[in-house]
Amino acid sequence: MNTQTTSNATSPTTARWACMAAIAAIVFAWTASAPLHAQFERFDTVDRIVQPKMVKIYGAGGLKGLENYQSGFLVSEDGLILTVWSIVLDADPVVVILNDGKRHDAKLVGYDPRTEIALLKIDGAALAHFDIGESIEREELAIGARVLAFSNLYGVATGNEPTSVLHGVVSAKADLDARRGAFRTAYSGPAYFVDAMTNNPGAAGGAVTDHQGNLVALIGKEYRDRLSNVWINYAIPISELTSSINAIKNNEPLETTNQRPPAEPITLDLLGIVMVPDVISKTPAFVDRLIADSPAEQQGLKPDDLIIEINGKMVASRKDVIERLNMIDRIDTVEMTVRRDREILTIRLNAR
Amino acid sequence: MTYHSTTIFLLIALFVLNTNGPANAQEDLSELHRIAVNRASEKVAPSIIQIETIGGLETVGDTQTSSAPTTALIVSSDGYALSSEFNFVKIPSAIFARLDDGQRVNVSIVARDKNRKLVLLKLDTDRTFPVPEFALRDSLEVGQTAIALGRAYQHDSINVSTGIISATHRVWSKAVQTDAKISPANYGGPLVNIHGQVIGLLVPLSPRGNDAVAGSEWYDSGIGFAVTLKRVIEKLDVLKSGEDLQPGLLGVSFKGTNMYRGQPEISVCPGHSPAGQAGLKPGDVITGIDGQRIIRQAQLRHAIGPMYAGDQVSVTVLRDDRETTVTATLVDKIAPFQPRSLGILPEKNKPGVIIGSIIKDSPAAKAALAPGDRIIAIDDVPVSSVNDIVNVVVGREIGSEITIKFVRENQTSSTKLNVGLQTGQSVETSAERPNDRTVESLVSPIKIPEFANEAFCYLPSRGQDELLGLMVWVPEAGPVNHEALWQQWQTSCEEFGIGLLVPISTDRKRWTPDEEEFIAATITECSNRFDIDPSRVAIGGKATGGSMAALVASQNRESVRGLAIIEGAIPRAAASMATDPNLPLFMYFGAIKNSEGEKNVKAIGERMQKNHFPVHIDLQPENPSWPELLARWLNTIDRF
Repeated sequence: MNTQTTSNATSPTTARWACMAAIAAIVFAWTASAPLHAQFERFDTVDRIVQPKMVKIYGAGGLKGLENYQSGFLVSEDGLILTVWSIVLDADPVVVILNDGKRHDAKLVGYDPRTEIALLKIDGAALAHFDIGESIEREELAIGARVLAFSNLYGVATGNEPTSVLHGVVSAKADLDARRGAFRTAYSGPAYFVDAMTNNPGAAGGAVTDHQGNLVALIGKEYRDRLSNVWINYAIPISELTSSINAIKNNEPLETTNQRPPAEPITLDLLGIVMVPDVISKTPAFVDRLIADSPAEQQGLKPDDLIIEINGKMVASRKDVIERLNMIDRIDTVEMTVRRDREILTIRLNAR
Repeated sequence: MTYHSTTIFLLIALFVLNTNGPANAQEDLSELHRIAVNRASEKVAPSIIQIETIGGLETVGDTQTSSAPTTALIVSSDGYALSSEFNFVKIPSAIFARLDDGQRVNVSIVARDKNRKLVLLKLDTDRTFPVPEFALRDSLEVGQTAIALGRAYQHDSINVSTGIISATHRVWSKAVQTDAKISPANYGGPLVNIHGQVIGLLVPLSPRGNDAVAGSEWYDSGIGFAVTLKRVIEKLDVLKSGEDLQPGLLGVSFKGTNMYRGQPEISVCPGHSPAGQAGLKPGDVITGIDGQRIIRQAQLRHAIGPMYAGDQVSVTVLRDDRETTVTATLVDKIAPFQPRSLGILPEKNKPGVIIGSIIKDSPAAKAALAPGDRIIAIDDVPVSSVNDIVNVVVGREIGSEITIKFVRENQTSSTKLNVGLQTGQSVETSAERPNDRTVESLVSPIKIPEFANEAFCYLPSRGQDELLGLMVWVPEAGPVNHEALWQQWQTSCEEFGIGLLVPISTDRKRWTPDEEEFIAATITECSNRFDIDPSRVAIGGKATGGSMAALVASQNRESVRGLAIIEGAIPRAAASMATDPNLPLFMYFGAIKNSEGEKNVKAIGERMQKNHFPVHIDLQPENPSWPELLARWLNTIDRF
């Protein structure tokens, strides 16, 4: 109703505008304070965002405990898939089934035996995918952080069924030291150890994400810890795989392990150390005697010393000592921690 | 118009707010959880120590040992820590602690807690350590957050697994159960609640096995255990002095074989046992332990389970409708039960207990008893079955005197005799079968659901109400011509009134341990379907069949009363069988004289005799008829 006089018309209008401005400011501040992807934290929402990026891979195998399926996920909108390198991919063709149930024949782009990953390619466009670049920029997950593991463990999901989701927390972050049977795995870099059950047939190649569905790591193959002999639930951080992924993508030479032994390594002989012989493969590393006037004798090592650590790595046997020394250059210093009676000392040795 | 647009604007603003507000709360929840878990972990972290071991065995039994670092928990500020026995089964040659600043110190094992499978370690250092706070057992509830901590990866950081408390009193009340992932990565570390208080120490445990590695196959399975520490801490000085702690035993056996149904009525209470010393007697019913009400035998085990040898416990019993309380001091070892013997073979297929025959030179032979006498009471306790008699006699010391009341030709009298030791020696016996056997002999296949195996039960012709003995003959693995087997046994089975049950393995080459369940199920099925006398059920076999029979017997004591092995061995899993007053087991070991089998059979026979089992070692000349010898033996295993 147009009953308001012109003289009073300005204050109510200004007041209204002021109100709206204030509300706008509050709304702006509120939405700005929440992270851009805040709407993704509900688990069912996370699931809906992640599942389209997951794929189910089928190939060779199916005999004697070696399953013929594994997991993978899209890393480019035109159909590049990251997964683990395994005998499953030893088929022609490798069949990939997307979340919507569409079946594709995939081509193997390449693999890296050091990191045990492989890239597959299917024909696609505008496919939902994880952005590797974004994953690398993300901060490391803290211990205790909640994680989700997406995979087709046990091959439970078929056709257009979504992959299975497990949850857990980051238990530890440490270097992987794993084996399968007597074969020691090549990758020995950092890994996330989680308390979600990722060590299961078919889970390898799956994605470990944070609770918001952001890609963090690749679920590894079923291995045992080399020292404790237990099956481990672990995933390799994407940041550790980027150089490998890029090398495969761009058809560049792969990084070889920089664990190459030096041309002239240091040896027990050079130092003048004679160890108590290996009676069993895990005979502790006791020094039997020292060659007269040898560097080790002169630099303070004594018979009956038990060698515990060499240059930061624990040695449990004579075999370990030899392996460890083999990685140290002749001219470098060897820092040995030994136990002598009840004392624990560090001795620096140089092969003069 | 501006009024409307403001409202619309407001509505839009509220809409946008709504889609973001709750989501914020959801994100915070995950992060809040992580922060809370982190805070709890950091609180205890200074008391969690990384332990390194060098050398030792590579395998213990079938388990591969670990050379990875393990975990221990400080319990005394001067450097004493508790860890799981599992971490040390390999008997390492050197043990170190790697402190969080990287320093290494020597560590020695001071003593062991055999009840909770823990070791007490001493760190060789002057440094002092904080002792963690412990949660009160009463405050624990199923569903509470439980955080499993270890220091198996880095020496300067903790590894974490989260879950809930699944149960608060497991493994006879010694442990709390959690679904956090428990494995060698955190054995020896603490399980803490959200406040950072220690609930218990993580160890592999199994309610079935008791060796050091039992339960370790359940790692990362969703079932994990942490032993509570209140009682251990109370006895810390004992451990510190180097003395091991043993589980405490009361030294009583109870009537009945079902600990979940039966009330704790004492049947055996040796004078030298803690219960005997405290003044308890057979017939007493335990109604309370340390003020806790006890109704079933299982509850007693829960009460005593966490206790140690040397602990004092107050026991309340009901005797002659009156309750009394005594104090007993638990011990670590009780002498094994010695089976009793009066020297009587009962008449078969007659109600009550009628003497069938009296064993030569037995206690009954020296008393004024004769075949045909009906026994009606022992020491004024009325008895109407062999079981009743056994229940009374097991409570009497060997050599002690009992009074037997009996009826002979309608006259009641009584006589005294001294309870003897059951040696299981061979005794004379004759067949007593009814003259009219109108029920036809038959062969019946026995099928158990979930098992692919086959079994066949052969029964001789028999009388209407006649109870038959049952011989479960386990053949060697592989396909079996069971009809031919019955041909060998038929005559003896007809003579003594015995059925023959033949289980068959699925594998052509060997029996597998899980087939024990199948064989046990066939015995139950046979006993339910046909009229079988439970006091004349035996299982036996030759060579590997005998070993399998021994395994079945050891796992199913309440189903079999006799074990017969011809030229075979007892597998390790069964060799540690112990006598049980409620579950008698007569053993027969047969071999050909001067054969290879003779040595083995004498060895196991003597071993079982040392364990106080009634044993008959039978060495035969060439070509014995084992079915005849075994049927005759089986006819005597209902002796008492």
